[in-house]
Order: sequence, then structure tokens, then C-alpha cells
Amino acid sequence: MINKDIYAKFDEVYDKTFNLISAMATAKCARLEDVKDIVQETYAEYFNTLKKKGIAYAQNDGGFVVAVLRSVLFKHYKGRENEKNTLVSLTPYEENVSDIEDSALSIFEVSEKKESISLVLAELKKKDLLTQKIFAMFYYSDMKIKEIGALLEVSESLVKHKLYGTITELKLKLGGMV
Amino acid sequence: MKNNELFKQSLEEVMGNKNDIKNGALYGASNQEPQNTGYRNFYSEVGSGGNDGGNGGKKPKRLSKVIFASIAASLVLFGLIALALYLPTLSPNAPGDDLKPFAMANGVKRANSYAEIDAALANYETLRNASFYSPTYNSIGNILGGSLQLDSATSGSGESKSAQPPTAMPGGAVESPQEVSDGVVADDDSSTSKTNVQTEGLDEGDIVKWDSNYIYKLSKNGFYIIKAANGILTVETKIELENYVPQEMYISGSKVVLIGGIYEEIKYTGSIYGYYPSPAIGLAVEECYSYLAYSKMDIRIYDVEDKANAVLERQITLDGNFVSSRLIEKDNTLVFAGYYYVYQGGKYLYPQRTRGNANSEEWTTSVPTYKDSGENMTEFDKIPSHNIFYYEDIPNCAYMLVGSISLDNPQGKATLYAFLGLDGEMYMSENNIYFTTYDSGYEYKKDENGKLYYVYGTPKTRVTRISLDAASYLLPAAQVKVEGSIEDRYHLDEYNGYLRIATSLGYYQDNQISVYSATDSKFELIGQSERFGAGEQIHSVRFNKNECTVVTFRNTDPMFLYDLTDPKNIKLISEYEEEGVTEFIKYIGDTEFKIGIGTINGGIKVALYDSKGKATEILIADIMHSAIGLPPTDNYYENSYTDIFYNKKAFYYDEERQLFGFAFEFYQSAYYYNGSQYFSYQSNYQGFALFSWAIYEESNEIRLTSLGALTELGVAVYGYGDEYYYNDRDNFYNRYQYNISRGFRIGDYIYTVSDAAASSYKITDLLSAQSIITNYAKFSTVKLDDAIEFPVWLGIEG
Repeated sequence: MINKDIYAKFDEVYDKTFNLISAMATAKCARLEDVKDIVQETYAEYFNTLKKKGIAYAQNDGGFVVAVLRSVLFKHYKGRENEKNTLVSLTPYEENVSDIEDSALSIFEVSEKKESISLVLAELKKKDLLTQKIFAMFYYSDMKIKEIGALLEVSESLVKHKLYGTITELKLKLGGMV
Repeated sequence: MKNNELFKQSLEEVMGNKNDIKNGALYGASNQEPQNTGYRNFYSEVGSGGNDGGNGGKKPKRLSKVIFASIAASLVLFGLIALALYLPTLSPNAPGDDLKPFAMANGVKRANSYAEIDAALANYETLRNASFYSPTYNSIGNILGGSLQLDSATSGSGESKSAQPPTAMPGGAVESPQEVSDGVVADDDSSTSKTNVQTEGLDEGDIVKWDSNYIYKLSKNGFYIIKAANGILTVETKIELENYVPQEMYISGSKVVLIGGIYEEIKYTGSIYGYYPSPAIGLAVEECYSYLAYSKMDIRIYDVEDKANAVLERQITLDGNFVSSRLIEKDNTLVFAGYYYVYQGGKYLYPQRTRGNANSEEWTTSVPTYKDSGENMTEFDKIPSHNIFYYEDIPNCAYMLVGSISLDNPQGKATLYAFLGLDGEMYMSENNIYFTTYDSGYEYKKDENGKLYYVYGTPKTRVTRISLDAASYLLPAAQVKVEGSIEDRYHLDEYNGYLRIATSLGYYQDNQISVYSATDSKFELIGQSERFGAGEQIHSVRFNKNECTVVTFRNTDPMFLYDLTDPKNIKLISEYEEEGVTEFIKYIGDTEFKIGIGTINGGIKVALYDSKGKATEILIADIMHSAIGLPPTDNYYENSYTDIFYNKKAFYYDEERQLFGFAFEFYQSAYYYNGSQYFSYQSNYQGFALFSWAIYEESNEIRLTSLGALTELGVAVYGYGDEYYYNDRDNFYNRYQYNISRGFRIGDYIYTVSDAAASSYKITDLLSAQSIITNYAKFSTVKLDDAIEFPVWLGIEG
């Protein structure tokens, strides 16, 4: 009994909010692997709300999806209290990397070699969670440095440091393959 | 370029593909594969919306969490079909000839072999692959000859006119099968309230059941038996089952029926993002994703004559997810229905080519399987083909499984039938089962090159009736396409041989009530109301004998009252415009008064109506404000919630004591982004609101009184926002467990249950008699002694 208007509304909101929602889920997750579950469940809940309440229910669609995400996060980690967010123990970096431009971070050409995907992935998995999150928010969720810093509650300087350092390291290790 | 595709693809391996997550979310929300909805066709063919256009037939990831969430949603969305009181047994040797005496409904066939089912699915696949809107259609006009042989799909047409219309409904001369009362036992101390049901005589499963001595309550993996003696609660038995999630239960005498789902690990071994497992790309087979999902519906019947020693007497396990069930009280027969998508359980009905093998035309037949302890089966077996019915123009690719078993003889004969192509809501009357399948209304045509395409038509609801009493068989008796769509099973009602259905035509356009004959193997349109509520959508419907109350929602939120005494001449009695919208309607016994519960400005309003309009009203939000003393907070949205808007079984209705109640939550939320804080949610109150009514016959007035609220948590603010979640998580989780979900009465005590606790209150003063913890070990931060100092407010008259 689902009206097509609901799908259209869902499409619109999904496309508009996906990056922010995935970034916020990344910021709050205990593991990157959890993000897809959390994001998927968030939109499933949102879709259910559209079905139950109609497309005019939420005055602020983006805000409403964010609200749903919050609720999903709580439920997701319910009973798994040991999985603390590891960001709380971070200390500020003093690296002088604040003048690096976003564009300078793009150093790889797109590779058609599928092997490189798994290799990049393997290297990423060796990194600390904060680095993984920054990497994911930058490349997966298309967040800006400033936005990542705000979402993770860390300085922009730290974000840039992590990104620049990781990409440089990856280039050294994998440059020949990509 | 910031968007380095290599990095993005690498991360997608971990975090998922955007389109897959979307498909998975839709699946999770509706339990329908997006491919099957028409939605996917439209977007992928037209190329708008960015939806997975290049994904071919790749299945969305159906992740464990979403699958879990989808189960609840599926209860609302899915319907089912057919049933079988005395149909052939579950045994593959079921006597197929039994069905011959019946004239099959138009468009439905009984399978003689599994190959027939393949052919029906192939036809569906053909339609599914049709393009939306042929480019030649507009320019050349209606040149297309052969439209497929699908029903013309107009409301009330396409069915035989030969059926004799039933006699006119005598005004109130016959007892309505609708809930005249929810039945209370006459004995003083042993009387109890009952689960609020749609049709009297047909009990509905719920998360808690009770008799005059015991409360039976589902837990997260089993159930409790709690002795309730004059308000004193004692846990007698706790049954814990491995790998089992109960969804609802029944009690009948000494029998307890559990209906739930079994988790099963499903491994997906096809391609991932177009890549097949290969050491060369570092993807081992075992790394192909697997997930846990409800993949089986499971019914267990226990004998609890000895409360300390529950004995499992029967277990029936089916492919698919549970949809709905009823207990026919006069026969003590359980009717159950489940929904089976073809790809579920690791099986796929789609052609092999949609699974990555582009050149294959081979079909992988998937027929739902079952296992029955009554047949001493040790392995799952396919449902026999002659127990499968299919429709020529199936609107989806799924089975509805319907079965029955007598609780008088749990080890005796059970029946099971499968209906390919049905879904939707299930409504059951005394004599029939109805399934409502959404029909997109697409019209399939061919262009001059013979290419199949479709254009939009008018959305319809396919109503399928299955007769319960026709010579002891259950058969698909008739199907009709009714214009418009419904929200839930309360949009349908059968009375005196007529099926009445209230539909919303289009999206916020028009609404209509239609009446069909319901006495033979065909539907015949008897009458229709004028279209009403222009620009609005039906939000709640309640039929009561020859009367129907409908509330539409959008701008003026009117409540319409219709007289259906003469189905050929449906009359509008009154149209009452009210503030807010009524989401729940309940007639009080045989009176003309009704209870209406709805929302208004973020709060819950409780009202009693007579035939002329509103009589009295109470706003819970106002009461809570004064009780809690919390002013509205800037940037916060005030809101209220109650389950009964979506689950009418959660409503406590007690005609004997003239009481009703429901669980609710009053909360404030804000969502904003200021660089660090995005969302905050605080629950100001969660509890069980209790009301009483009194009818003054001389003045024909009804009075509504608020008796108070029962809670496990007290008047306290519990937040869900960041500051609460990360700093006070124990408290946060504890709070959820104590949210009251149901309330009911046994003797002179009101009982409430939550996940973690059960409590009793003396009905005369609503003071707490006792509260016990049932679930979960971790509740140290909640001080029950302090928490149960209620009721909060008493004697507030509306």
C-alpha cells in the first residue's frame, strides 16, 4: 500500500542527506563496519515514518532524518556498552598542517585495477579508528575538512594531519600499483 | 579531485554502497524487495532518481539489523492469503482431489506441478522488465495492439454479474461480527479484560495474554508465566529458547502458542559489486557477506498444565516471515499466515541472469518449504504443488502461506496452503479471510516493435477473499480490484454478507466507501458512497454494524459518519470538523458513543463522541505540562506518542468496569546542527493513561474522566541526546526497559507490563500493589521503590 509519492520523497531526502548521515554515523560509530547497518536502518525507519505519517509529517526533513539517526544509534549500541567511542581520549595535535588545501590531498589517479581496492582497504584497516573515520568522512561522505572537524569534535588541523599523513603513506606503499 | 574513486570504492567495501544501502533500507522498511514494487522499474528505466540504475539484478544488502527491524514493519505492510481449516494436511500426500468441487475464482489457478509456478513467475519477470512509457506511444498514438491479458481493473467490474446480491441489511437486526464488546467474564473477581480485537470471536495474538490467574508475557527469546493473585505477582516459569524471537502469543486453556521467527545465517555467494570471489582481488569466498535474518516463521504449541514444566507439543516451521494470525474461539483453531519472498532463505526465483550470470535463462525454482513435528519430519520439504495456488497476473513475486491447526488437538492434522502473488493486510471475519494486495495499476502495452512497456494507471487494491466455511474448505473464492488504497485492516469490514471497504483514491485526493456482496465465489459491487474528503486522506476508519466513522486528514481533519443500512444508498449522516486528527476510533458496546484518540498540536487528545459530534475531550499534553511543571523549551518540539495509532491491540478496553487506557509517551525533541550538537531528545513521561466513562441515559450524555497514569519511571526527564547517551548510558538503557507497553485487568487489579517489569494496581485507588522485575539483569540505577508513587493526577474531568 505504498504510494509512489513516498518513494519520490524518500529519494529526494535520501540523496540530500546521505552524505551527512553517513558522516554522522561514522563520527559516532564504534567501528566503520557498523556504519552501513546504522545508515540503512536509519533510512528504513525514515521510510516507515513516511508511510505512517505521510510525506508532510516532518517540517525539516534533514533534521528529522538526523533525529532518526540518533535514535538508531542508541538502539544499535544498546546492550553493547563496552563498545565505547574511542575518540574521547584524543589529545590535540599541534602539527603545522593547517595550511594544506583540500586539493593537495588528491594524489592518486583512479585505478582500474581491482587489486588496489583491497590493498588500500587493508592499509586503512591498520590505521587507528580516528584516521579511518576521517578518511571515510572525507572520501565516502564527501565532507569538508571543517565539517569533519566539527562532527568529530577535533581540530581542523588534526583532520588535515591525519588525511595528509595517511595519503602520503599509502602513496609510498601502494604508489606503484595505482 | 577530492573524490578519488579508488578510495571511495575501498571504503564502500566496508561501509556499503549508497544504492545498496538505499535498497536495503527500503527492503528493511517494507520487507519488499524494491525490484518488486514497480519503483525500481520506473527509476532504473527512466534513469531518474539515481537509483541503482547500473546495478542490474544485484540484491540489496539485507543486513541483520535492518532485517530485524523489518519484521515489525512487515506486520503492518504484508497481507496474505488463504487458509485452510480443513484443507489437505501438511503432508505431501495431501488429497488434492478434495478441492475439485470448488469453482475457482477468476484468475486463480491451482498448480499441478512446480513447472507451472515457474511459468507464472516468468510472466511476472516479463512485466517487471517492461520499460516505463514507450517513446513511440505519444507520437504514434494508440497503435499498440496487444495489451496483455490483464484485468481491466476498474472498481467493481470484471466480475460476474450473475451472483445473486444478498438481501438488504436489516438495520441492526443481526449481531455484528464487529466488536460489540470485548467480552468480559461475568464472575466478579475472576473476570478479566481481553485483548482489543477487530472481530468478536476472533482473538488476536499479542505480546501479553492473561487469564484469571496467570499472566503470560513474551520475553526477548521466550515467555514468562507469572502468577497474578490479588495483585501479588510471582514468576512461575521462564522459557528461554535459542535462536528464536517470539512475536506474539495466544493462550487457550492449558495451551500456550508462540509465533515467532528463527534466525538463520544466510550466506550470499554471488558477486559483490560486480566482483566474484577470487584470491586475485583478495576476496575469498568466506568474505562474501553473510547475515543473520529471520528466514523462518515458527509456531510452537506448549502445554502448560504444569506451570513449572512447559511441554512442547507441536512445532511447525515455515519459510518466510510471520504476517498475521487469529484464534477462532468457537473452534479453538489457530489460523496463521506468513509471507515468503522468493529470494529469502538463500533461494532465488529470479532467473540466474539476475544473479550475475548474464547469459543464463535458467530459473531456480523456489518453493517454500516447511517442517512439521506432527509429521515427524526431520528435514524441510517443499510444499506440494497441489497445495499452491497462483494468479495469472501476479503483482509481486512472493507467496502468502496460510495454515491452520486445532488447539484442541495440537498433535493432529494441520493444513497449509501457499498463494503466489498475494500480499498486503489480512482481515478476517467469521466466514472469510481477506487479503489486500496493492496493485500499482500499471497498464502493460506493446509498441509497434512488440516491445513491452507500461504506463501509469489508477492504483488499486486487490481484495482476495478466501472462504472459511465452504464445505469445510478454504479456497480463494473471489478477487476484485477496488480503486484506491487502504492503510490497515480496519478499512475492511464484513457484515450481513457484505464487504465494506473504505479506500483513499490517489494521494490526498478523494475517498470512498464501497460495498460488495460477500456471499459466494464472486464479488459484486452493491453500492458506493459519494466521494468525500477532497484533498484529504483517510487516517482512521471504524465500521459498526450499519454505521461507519471515517476520519480524513490534511487540512480540516473532518470526521464523517455514514449510514450503511441500505448499501445501495449510502448516506452521509454528519460531517464534523475537529481540531487535530483522530487516529483511533472505538465504539462503546452497542451504544452510539465512541472513543476517539488522536493527536493535536503534538499532544494526544482523548475524546468521547456521540452521533452528533464531540461530547467531551481531554488533552494529555496539557495535563502532563501541569503535572510535570516543565515549560516548553526553546528549540524543542513537543510531541506525544502512543502505540495504539498503529497497533490497536495495545488499547485496553474494559466494558464491564467502563475503563479504557493506553500506553503513551510525552517527549520533547530538537534537531539542529550548530557544529557539535545535532539532536536531543528527552522523554518527560512514559506511562499508561487510564480513563473511565459514564453514560447518563436520561440526558443521553457521556462523561469522560481521567483517572491518572501508571508508570514505572516516575516524573523525571530522561534524555536520549548526546549528553545522556554518552554520559549516562546505563540510565538510558534502563529507561527503555521500563516503558509500559500494555495494561489490562484481572479481577480488581490493573496490571501493566514493560520489557523489564510487571506491576499491579488496586483498581479502586490505582495505588501500586506490587512490581516485579522480569527481564534483564541490569537495572541497578532504577529505584523501583521511588519510581512507583502514582498515579500522578486523579479526577480531572473533561
